[in-house]
Amino acid sequence: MSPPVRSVLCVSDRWSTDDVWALAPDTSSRKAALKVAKEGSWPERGAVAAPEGGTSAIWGECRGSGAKPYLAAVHLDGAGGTAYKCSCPSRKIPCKHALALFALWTQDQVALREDRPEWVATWLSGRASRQVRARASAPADPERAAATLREREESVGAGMDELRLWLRDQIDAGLAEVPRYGYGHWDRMAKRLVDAKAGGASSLVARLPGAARGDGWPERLLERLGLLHLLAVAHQAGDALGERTRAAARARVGITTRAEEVLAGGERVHDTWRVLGQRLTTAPEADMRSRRVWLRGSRTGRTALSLSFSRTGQAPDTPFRVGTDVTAEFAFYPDGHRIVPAGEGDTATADPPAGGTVTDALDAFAEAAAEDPWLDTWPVVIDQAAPAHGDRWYLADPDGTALPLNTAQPWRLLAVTGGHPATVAAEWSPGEGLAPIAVWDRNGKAVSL
Amino acid sequence: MTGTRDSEAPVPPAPADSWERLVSAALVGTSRRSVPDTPDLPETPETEGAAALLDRAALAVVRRAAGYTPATGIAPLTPDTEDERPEAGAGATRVLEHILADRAELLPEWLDLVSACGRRAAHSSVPSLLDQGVRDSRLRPALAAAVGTRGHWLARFNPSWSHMLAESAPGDRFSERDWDHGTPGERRRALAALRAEDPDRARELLTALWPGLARAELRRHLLETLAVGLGPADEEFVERALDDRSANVRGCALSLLTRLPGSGHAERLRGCVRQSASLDAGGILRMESTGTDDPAVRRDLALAASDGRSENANQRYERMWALVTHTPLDVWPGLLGTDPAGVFTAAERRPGGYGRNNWLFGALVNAVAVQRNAEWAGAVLGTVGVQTMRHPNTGQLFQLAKLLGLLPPRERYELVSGVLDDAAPLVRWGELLHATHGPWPPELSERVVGRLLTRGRKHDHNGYRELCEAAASHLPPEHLAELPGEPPIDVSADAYLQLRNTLRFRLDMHKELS
Repeated sequence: MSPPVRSVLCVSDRWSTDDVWALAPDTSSRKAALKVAKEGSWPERGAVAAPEGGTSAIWGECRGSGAKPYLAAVHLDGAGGTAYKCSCPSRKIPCKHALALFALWTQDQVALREDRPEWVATWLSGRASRQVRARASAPADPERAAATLREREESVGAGMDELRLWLRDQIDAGLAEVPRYGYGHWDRMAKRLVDAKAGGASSLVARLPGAARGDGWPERLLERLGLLHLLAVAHQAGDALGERTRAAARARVGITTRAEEVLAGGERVHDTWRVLGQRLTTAPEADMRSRRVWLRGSRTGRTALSLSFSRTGQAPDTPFRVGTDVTAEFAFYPDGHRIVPAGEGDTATADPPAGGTVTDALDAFAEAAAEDPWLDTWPVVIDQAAPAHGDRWYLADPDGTALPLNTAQPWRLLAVTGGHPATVAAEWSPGEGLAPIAVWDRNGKAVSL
Repeated sequence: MTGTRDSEAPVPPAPADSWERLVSAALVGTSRRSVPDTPDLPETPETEGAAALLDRAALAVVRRAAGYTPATGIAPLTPDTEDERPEAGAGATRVLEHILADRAELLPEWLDLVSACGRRAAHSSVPSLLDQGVRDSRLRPALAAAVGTRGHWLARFNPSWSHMLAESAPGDRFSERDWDHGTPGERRRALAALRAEDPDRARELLTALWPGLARAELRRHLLETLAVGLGPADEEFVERALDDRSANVRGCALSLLTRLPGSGHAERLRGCVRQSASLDAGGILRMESTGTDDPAVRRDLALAASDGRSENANQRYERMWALVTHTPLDVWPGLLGTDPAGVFTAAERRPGGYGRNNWLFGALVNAVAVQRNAEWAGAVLGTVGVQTMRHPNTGQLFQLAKLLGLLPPRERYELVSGVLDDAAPLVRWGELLHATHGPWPPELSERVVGRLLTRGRKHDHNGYRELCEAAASHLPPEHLAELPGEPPIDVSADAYLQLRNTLRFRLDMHKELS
């Protein structure tokens, strides 16, 4: 193993050009940024030094087609993560100018400068003062906060009771007529749940009409209704459930736990976490994108999920890169999987993660489903896995036991492995199939899929 | 409601049926049908009504997800044989990704560089490179070399990449199995491999197979492999392919025969030229088309047979152009009693002015490019001058890049340098240098750099842009150091900065692939 890299020494250690391109909200803005990521487009540019060394921010003036240059800046070490500013009219964040400037900096083409234009100074000091204000205004009135929380619990409880009865009504009446129902039938219940502050359950209801279409709809619909009913019953059961099951139910109902609460009171685990892979998804109903990064503790074997969200048109940020280990303390959400990193960690390149057979992978899913019966995605690492083709594409272990892939075009996986057995990390979903997220080639190098 | 219907069912339900029974009860509704027994599922707290049905459904769903049964006995793919060439490094791969996203025009250079340093593309780049081959067939040989055995292996799984299966790869070997039972692509690769080792044996295999090849596309693909190791022994077979049903196959046969100046085919064309071309009293080269309107000539030129109607001017033009293009150039000096330079002088004197409207002159230039004759290339460029090689119809510079490419590098650069004096307009510099493929020698590069940094009395923005673009493609990128960051001419700053960007990009690419 190579010696660990101190990630706090210099911020640019942590940013490769690839990391920057991964921030692009979509392919077209990445392409647009490539065109602007040229020294010639940035006659004025500079980096602002951080007090403890490294870089705090980057700024530049981009020569465009118009008379006025666009003013772009990236704040690297702000408290809320990387922040961007640009005077261009684009609504994408980061826009192509900010991305291009960022990329130039990772290629050492933006030098540290003592002087900075006034607009940069104004922006940075504005951000700093907002952060101070936010910290100062956090805990206002603990009594009122507790009352609000109680009110919310009661409201959600009433909503879930109503959902339970509504579901039973559907089954009593029979589902045969369902395909003829208009959206209004579902929307009334979904709206009621929104009013009851159970946003998660509401969106599960809103997705029901999608299940009631096409071949096999009765099976699909009954599956969803059964799981929703289980959710309503589980929420009612409350403390009678195990802590993690209860947390899984509450998270799905839509009772959010804030990252600050997790940092303040969540379970802390210190370990060397191996990054297994990541997946970027767009939630269909909301204007949101999410990035899931799966990690596994080398000492504890604990699975950790780092989840970040952004609006469509932005790319969620992550400090974790495939093919590395992060030695750090994580604070776990009550569900026992999702985490918030508690402070900076040390990043080092890592060997491929230890994997198992297909049966091991299915056992791991079953074990996780025992705590979270609504589970539909779980990370698995399969050792000596080889792509196979039957009626569709599969990933097979050396015994010939195989899981179906969720895609008809697993070209990157095939290209990297050449059909040879390799360590593959994937998200397993019994409904959708196996979605490979990373593969380690024969030299042990990680390739994101 | 009690289960009267259930009591009528004598056979206890099999466990696998439980789920279907739950579904059909749910469809009808628990107000009309009782909840079916599900003996294979654990007990639920409720036993009747909708709640029981929903509980049992949830149990069945979770059990099925947690107890997923994997497929067994799925045979893995036959793995790829390892390509032993080292992989292009992470830097070179990043450069390639930029090229694929934004600088497609530099892909050929990247492919050349990667093959020159004995490397192959990273495996993860293979799918996007195969996609490039779908769009651009000219790139396929270079792409095939870059993706190597992995690319060929992968191409089998996606029908849109089937073109790659026919491209030869480094290390191909002839195999009886591929030749006798392979896919069309595998057969072509097998034949090409054999042709490189034993040309006669390859031709004999093809001759034996030929009558049974129903698809013209297949005939053409296989015939093309004879281009390697072509010699007089191939004449008879290729000559017969001139009678093929398919125009594509005939065209391919003609291009092979054009490379055999000692063949009977070449001799027939010479005879035809001797009959129709002559110098008139004024020393002007003239050609009569009347004697060439003949089925045998059409066949030799792979042209469609006459449809019986009288020929129009275009068809006549097409035939004469083909005749001059494919007849060995050696016919002309003997016929006209002069050297190659004299032949062009005589052709140039035709009425209709220099170049423009003079199809015969254009056809002769075309013949030099098609027959890749370096001596004649020197003669034509020497006689006519590099800067007036214009297409007879369009007035564009015609075949200049090809003719220059035939010359030995030293001669090529001297010829170009000689024309590029500082008084020549920027447009002339630009178009000429576009045609002068690199790598440019230091003297030429320095002159171009000098020109880029000099501001004339009247600045020609378009010409300057042309020159920048030519330099961006062909100037060895290390000359970037001589181009200061501050644009020398304000109004053309864009073009200049773009040139610098491209050179910097190419410099990185050369560093990563050296």
